[in-house]
Amino acid sequence: MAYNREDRRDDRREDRMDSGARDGRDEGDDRGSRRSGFARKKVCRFCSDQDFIMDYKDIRMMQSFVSEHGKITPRRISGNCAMHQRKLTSAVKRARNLALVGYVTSGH
Amino acid sequence: MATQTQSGILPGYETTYITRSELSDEGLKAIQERLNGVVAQFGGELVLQEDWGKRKLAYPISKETRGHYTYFVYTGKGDVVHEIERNLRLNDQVFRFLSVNLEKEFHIDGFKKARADQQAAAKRREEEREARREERMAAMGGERRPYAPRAQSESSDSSEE
Repeated sequence: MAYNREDRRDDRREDRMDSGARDGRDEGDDRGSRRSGFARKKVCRFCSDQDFIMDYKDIRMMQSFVSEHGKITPRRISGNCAMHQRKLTSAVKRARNLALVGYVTSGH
Repeated sequence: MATQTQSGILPGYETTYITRSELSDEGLKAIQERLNGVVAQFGGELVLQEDWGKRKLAYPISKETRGHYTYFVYTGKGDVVHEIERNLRLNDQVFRFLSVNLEKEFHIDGFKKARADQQAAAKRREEEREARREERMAAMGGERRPYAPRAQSESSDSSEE
């Protein structure tokens, strides 16, 4: 998979050299259309819902962003924006300190 | 901004601490009073105090699996937090605490209002979730009915719940 992606990037670079003007927008569109076949664009839940507030005391909120092993879900899966992901990590870490949410465990 | 903070609006902090679950109510009250004394000593005000009750810890801390959580919000100048944490550390009934700096200029009314809004929103969300669950139950019951007429009594039970 990683291989493929690199190859593709290389191809594109060559393209750009050939055709001269190939801006980033073009690439983005291309990727979007390819992606839309199987994945939906994720939106940050904290941005879209003003009532959904980040709080290290809100265990229920926290658990929706933590895997069963206690790992924080990455941004590419949760769809959070950078700012809220940053706040989320600090919130989860505070909750861990208070034993509201567990630390990462590998299982039993 | 620095001049404003000096003009009288104190910063706000919140502290949560966990005490041993065997600790008696009087013991807990003694701790609370001691902390209130510290807050008063630093010219602050106790804004809010909440007892979360006993809950199971996500992982054992110093051989305890359950703990009694207390949460409080206060204002104060200078080293309040330092003094509060020192007091908590001295008490061997307290085995974990966390203090968070809320704001440099803490407006008590604003905080209370925001908190009320937040709780209302949480309640609303809870209700929505409840409604959605019921809807799903009803939908499931409705689908099941034509295929399995015998399950009808079951599905009507679940929708009542």
